[in-house]
Amino acid sequence: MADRTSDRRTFVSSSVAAGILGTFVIDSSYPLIARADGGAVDYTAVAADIADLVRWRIVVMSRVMFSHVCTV
Amino acid sequence: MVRLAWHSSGTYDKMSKTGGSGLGTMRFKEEFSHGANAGLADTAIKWMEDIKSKYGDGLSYADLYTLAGAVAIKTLGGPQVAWGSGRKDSMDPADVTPDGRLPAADSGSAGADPTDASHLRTIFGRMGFNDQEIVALSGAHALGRCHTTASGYDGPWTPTPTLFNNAYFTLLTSVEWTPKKWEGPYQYEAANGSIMMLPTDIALVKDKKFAKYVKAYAKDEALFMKDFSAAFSKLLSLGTSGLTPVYA
Repeated sequence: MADRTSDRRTFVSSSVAAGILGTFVIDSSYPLIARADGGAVDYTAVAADIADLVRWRIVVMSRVMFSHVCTV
Repeated sequence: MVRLAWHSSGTYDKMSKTGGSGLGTMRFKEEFSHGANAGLADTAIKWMEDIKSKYGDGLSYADLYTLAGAVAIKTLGGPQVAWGSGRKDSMDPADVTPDGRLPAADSGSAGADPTDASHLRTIFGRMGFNDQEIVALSGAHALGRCHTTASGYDGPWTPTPTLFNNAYFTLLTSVEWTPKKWEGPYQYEAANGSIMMLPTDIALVKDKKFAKYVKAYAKDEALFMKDFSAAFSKLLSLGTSGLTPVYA
């Protein structure tokens, strides 16, 4: 995940500059109401990582017009 | 990621009680190589590996793949989808269900009427979904696009393929869809060619029972969000039991 930080920043800045992301409202909140497995897994953290990945793919798609969020 | 979650879950057969999201079998070549799953191995399945390796054995693939779908929907502007944890991964590829349990975008068998809705009812009925739920779930086509390199179809369903909303339904009911003239598989396009629909999408407006819900969701986005959330949550739990509610 950390390896692509710089790439992500490049993509975000170039996409925002192009106004591509201007309409997106990103909401990463996903309220935790219980923790399963006796706390073995923090699903809120997992969800945050997934949300980050989704945003990353949006930026990539905005850049290259290539979506794999829901692709057939 | 929405597709990964859906295809991981949509193998469920309510009669035999096999398939579904419970075993994480989509990670096996025996399953991701199914025709309907084309492209998943190089995209969503691969992307999930970073997260899986970060959390280790405590996080099952089955939980991860389904949670990814719920989170993607929410992150892209959709409703919160109730999700529970506790799926335990199978270690045996023999648990992979036979190919052919997921919908075919061309409505199934060769020579079939491409807008025949019976294929959708057969496939989704096997999972336990009714007409209203089938239409609601189809609204996920607000997101993403088809690729000639995966399914052979080409193009997005809506002009905003990274936003989850009811545009799929408003476009289904307001655009004049005509067959695309090309060498690829049978699909429909808008007059300017910028957006597309699959035969199974057009089937939803050709069939009166389905069309009732298409119109309702086109008029009322909040209703669509509510119904989609319930149907998608049901989808993600197919083939499981005893899940611990985590998000509601």
